[in-house]
Amino acid sequence: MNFGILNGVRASNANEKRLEAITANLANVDTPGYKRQSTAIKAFRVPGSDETDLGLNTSATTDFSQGDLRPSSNPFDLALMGTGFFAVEGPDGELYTRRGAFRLDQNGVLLTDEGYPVAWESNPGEINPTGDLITVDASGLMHQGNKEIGRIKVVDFANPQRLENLGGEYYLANRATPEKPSTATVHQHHLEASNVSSIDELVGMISIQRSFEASQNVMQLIDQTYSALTAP
Amino acid sequence: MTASSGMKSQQKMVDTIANNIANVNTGGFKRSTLHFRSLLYQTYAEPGAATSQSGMNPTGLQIGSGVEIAGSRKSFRQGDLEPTGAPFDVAINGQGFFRVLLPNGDFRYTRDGHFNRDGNGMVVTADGYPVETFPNISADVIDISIAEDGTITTRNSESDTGTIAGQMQLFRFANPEGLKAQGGNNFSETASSGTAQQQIPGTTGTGRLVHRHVERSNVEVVDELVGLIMAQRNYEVNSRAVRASDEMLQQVNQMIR
Repeated sequence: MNFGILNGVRASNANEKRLEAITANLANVDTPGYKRQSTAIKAFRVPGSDETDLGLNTSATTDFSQGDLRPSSNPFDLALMGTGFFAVEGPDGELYTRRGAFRLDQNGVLLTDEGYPVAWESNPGEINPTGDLITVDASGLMHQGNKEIGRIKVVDFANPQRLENLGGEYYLANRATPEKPSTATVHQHHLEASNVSSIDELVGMISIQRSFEASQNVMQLIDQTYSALTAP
Repeated sequence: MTASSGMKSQQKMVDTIANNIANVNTGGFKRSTLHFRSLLYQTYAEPGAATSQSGMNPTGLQIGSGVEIAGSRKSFRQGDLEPTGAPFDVAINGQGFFRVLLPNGDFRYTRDGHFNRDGNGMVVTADGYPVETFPNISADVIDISIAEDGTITTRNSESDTGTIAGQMQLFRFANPEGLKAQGGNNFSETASSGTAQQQIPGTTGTGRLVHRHVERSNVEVVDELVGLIMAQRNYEVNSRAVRASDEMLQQVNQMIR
């Protein structure tokens, strides 16, 4: 068995996965609160084989680095600066998001675009939908006029990489990862932009294409050697 | 597929921006913005899943499958007030809407205070729909003044000190972003917006009236053009990603000769 050809196939597959991650990043270059996926390929020795048979494993990590804060006119657009997540009440328990594009419904409940209520530090904040102006300070404390409404729940995790990504900028903490208090500051009238940089992704895409090409060439070379051997 | 979802979303973004720019001179127009969200993630390997008896996969492999539109939002930011001098023009400085009555009995809500008097003395919008709570103004009125709180005073002759004809009211919604845009600068009530609450201008959060002014569109051309350039560039990088996938598949096909 020639392992070289197999390794070429593995390298091509790994590069295909990396390209998928990059196209997903590029598609979400303008999605508020989106965190880019970065991929890594690592080689490992296939158990029970000799040194020449190397397996390849692709892993994707979420790059939770800060996105730019873009100003907006909506008083319920909140952005986080620093590490942490807004907690919202999803259909099956609490979900976490960096996307602070909230709105008020007719009963004064603060909701996300999907209609999930925003979680509060203690009692749910009661906002008068036809009342005074809303202000939110850096610690997430909300006031309506002079009346205190409550503090929006912001949490952080010891290991955010273990959060499961549900799409729509929501994360689920179903595996043990300890919660810890967040040090992030809340900025009203701002939304956090996606942290995807199209230039970085395009450069990554070119390098993937070249490395894909190289693995194809290796396979072709091995193929040619064999055909020379078997030629009459 | 992933990149094509990016192209489609950016196309919708361009449509929205084009509509905003087209309405840069429409009185009382409110700009729209689109919000995107990422699509479901395809899980190739669970984060934290066991890879052998002792090891576990620390991050797993989850790759997103593209982008979709989460929704469009109207920005109800105040537009600039432009003096017109016309006797029936009223602008709202703050929150609230005027209510107009359609011939079929439905109500519509608008911030375009470009009103006129029709032949019967009724005050109507540019489309000819009567404005609710605006009193009839008879033809012998020579001067009309509307106070901040909506009080309408008319004078019938130069020596007349003025009589109060009525008080204009404004309508407020719990969630104005939930209103449905109906074209012609009109909005209609929905379950999401809540029911209209009639209020005296300047009380409980409603805006004050400014007579002989109209509210301009709140579209800022510079912001829209910057948004347009960004949408165009994002479209381009997504189309580049389509090409890269295409080229890689082409290479695979060329392997077999």
